[in-house]
Amino acid sequence: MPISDTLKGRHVLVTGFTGFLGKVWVGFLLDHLPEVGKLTLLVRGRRTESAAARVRRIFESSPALRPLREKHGDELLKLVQSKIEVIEGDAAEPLMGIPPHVLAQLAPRLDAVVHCAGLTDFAPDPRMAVEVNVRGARHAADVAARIPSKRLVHVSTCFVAGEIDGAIPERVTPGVSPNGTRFDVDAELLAIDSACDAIDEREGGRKRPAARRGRIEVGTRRAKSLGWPNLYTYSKGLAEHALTQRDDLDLTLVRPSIVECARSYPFPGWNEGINTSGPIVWMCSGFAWKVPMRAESCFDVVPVDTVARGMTLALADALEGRAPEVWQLASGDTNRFTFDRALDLTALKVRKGYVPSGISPLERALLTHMDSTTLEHGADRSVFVPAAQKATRWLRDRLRKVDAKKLPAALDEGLREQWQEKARDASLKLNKTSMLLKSIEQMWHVYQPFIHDFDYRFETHHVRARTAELSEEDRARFGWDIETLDWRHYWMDVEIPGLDAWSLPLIRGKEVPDDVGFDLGGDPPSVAAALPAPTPTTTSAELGGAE
Amino acid sequence: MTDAITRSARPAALFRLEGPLSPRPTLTAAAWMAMNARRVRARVLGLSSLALAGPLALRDPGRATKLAWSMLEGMTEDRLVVLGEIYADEHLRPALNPVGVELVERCRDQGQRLVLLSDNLDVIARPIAAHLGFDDVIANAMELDGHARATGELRPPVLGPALGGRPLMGRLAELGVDLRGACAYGSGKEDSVLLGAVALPCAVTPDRELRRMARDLDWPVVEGSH
Repeated sequence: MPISDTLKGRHVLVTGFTGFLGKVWVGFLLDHLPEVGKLTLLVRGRRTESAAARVRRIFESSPALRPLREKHGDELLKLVQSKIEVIEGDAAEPLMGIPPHVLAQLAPRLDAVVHCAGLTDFAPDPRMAVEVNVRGARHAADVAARIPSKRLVHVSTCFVAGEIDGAIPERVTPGVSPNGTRFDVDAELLAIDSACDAIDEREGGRKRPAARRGRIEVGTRRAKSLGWPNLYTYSKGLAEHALTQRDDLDLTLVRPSIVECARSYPFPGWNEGINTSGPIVWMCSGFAWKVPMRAESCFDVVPVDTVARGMTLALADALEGRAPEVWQLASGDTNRFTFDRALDLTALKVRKGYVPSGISPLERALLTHMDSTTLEHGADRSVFVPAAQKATRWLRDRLRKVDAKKLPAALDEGLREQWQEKARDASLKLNKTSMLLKSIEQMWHVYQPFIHDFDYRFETHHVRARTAELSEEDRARFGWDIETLDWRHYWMDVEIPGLDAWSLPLIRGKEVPDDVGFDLGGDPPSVAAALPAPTPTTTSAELGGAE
Repeated sequence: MTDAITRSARPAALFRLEGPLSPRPTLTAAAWMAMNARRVRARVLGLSSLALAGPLALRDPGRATKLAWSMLEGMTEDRLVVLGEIYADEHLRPALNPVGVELVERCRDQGQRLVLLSDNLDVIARPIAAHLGFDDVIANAMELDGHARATGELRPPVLGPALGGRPLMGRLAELGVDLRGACAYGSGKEDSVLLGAVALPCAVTPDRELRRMARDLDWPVVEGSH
């Protein structure tokens, strides 16, 4: 069946619209599948901005939705009013914060819930990670369980595979962690909560930095004991296990690998926020010429619009009631890209004239002839960064102590003061360099499991099999197309310029501009506003179960 | 298909890159690429080989070029392609011989099929061909192993510095170029075999030996400064 027929008139609840993938996917759907019935976007309101106002702002100014603005112009409001509705909520709250009377009206109309919301930080506070990624997924499942079809498409990550090398199949073994340990999700949540409580009490409050550090440390230790390298993969993994153990859902798990710059939609290079490749490119296009990566390991990057295609196929299959449970959306299975190649191409991009902004001509000349190579033995045994840090700090301290009065009296007084000034300037710059080196060292340790310790090959049978069934026309619009990606062109002409425009400014502490000058002309419709006020008799029990 | 037939029906204009269009010899390109290897050790090795290749070029240019290209062993295809583009853009394009470029334009205006010949690597010749609007390129290509890394050998048939031998004639025949109706432009004595094989040979700022030959055989000579 054509994808447009499958999605025709369907009504989908989407969480995570404000995120990188969420925006691109919703834009992609509206642009390529205008036949879709309605998309209800569950968005958190802010103190100063309602959910509807947030969605309106995104439609007006996010580069992700630029093609829609260009295509529809002043008519965009019509499209938004007919295809979009906004519901204020929060994935971390029971029933995602949807008031029972609203859910009672909404649920019967829905065909599926697509849960994109999640925390993507690699080292989050375990409380937050559990709240958003695990309990949030459960809340989404609770909502999905109340719709007639019980369909939930949950966006996870390929890296729930944990600390494992080699081929990763598209399956979940409920209750068994990556290192084979049997575990119970509820017991895990309880253990994390009580460990965090104990730390907070010991450190005198949950807001103290020491308490946060302690929580992350304990959480990471727990994650590692089960075979997950960090809290992000642990929380995403727990969510998958929590969902697969439920029998009241028609579940589809979509696992993208490293979601990166768009290949073509909304436009080549679009990226948002600080993603995985950003810091790596930032460091490799700078002075990090020994990078703790395993040269021939797979750098499993997938353009965000390719992921959007895969998600659309997974949703279509789910709506047809024939979706396999797990869909991995990764590149290494059929079009392998290695860390060594990424480093080489980054260095070549620098040679071709790409130079990170804000550097001097001397630094540029050095960078152009200093190509990064891999440090096969990993960050733990890297001597360069710690040594450079030590040397920088030593020099910084010496320069700080330069005193004009202690300089040779034979020198002119003005000259002595000038030297002292220059020494202070240099010490400030060295201080900045020392901090940069420290952040590089920390970043290497955070990234090490993914760039050095394990060589993953995520299998992608399901999305490829579904693509093979598509008509030629559908394949061109929605088919899984990673095999046709030319990595040299993508990395040098799409990814690096994209990161430079949309991600690296954030790493440097600068802002990324939104598009300006478009007025949608009105807020998108809000679900709650269209409904009658709640009646005292509408309870969660009437909705099919208590939360 | 139609396009190919139309192209082969047009009389061909064969231009040698080294000489008529660019003053830089092939050896310079090989040395530059070797000096831009990824690792410092490979750069040092490249420079050492260059020290040997330089004097050897005076006695046996073919072997010198082979030695020069062997310095690129282990270089990735990505690096070959990108360095080739950079070399063409930064070192060849700014120094193109204006007389040669004018001849190319004149041949294009006359509707001739433009073929660029070079014993350089195709990764270097192609960007120049694209810049000048050539229809076809005949150049050497580096042999790659299963991991897309250079073996240090050129892929046969190898074009030597002296153009006009069997490898070149074979590749021209593959392209359907009829030498009896073609014109060719060369600058050195290495081009004399090719120039002798076409209907309309032309020496562009020739070296002493080619100039003497052109005079003896009554070939036109176009002068210009590099």
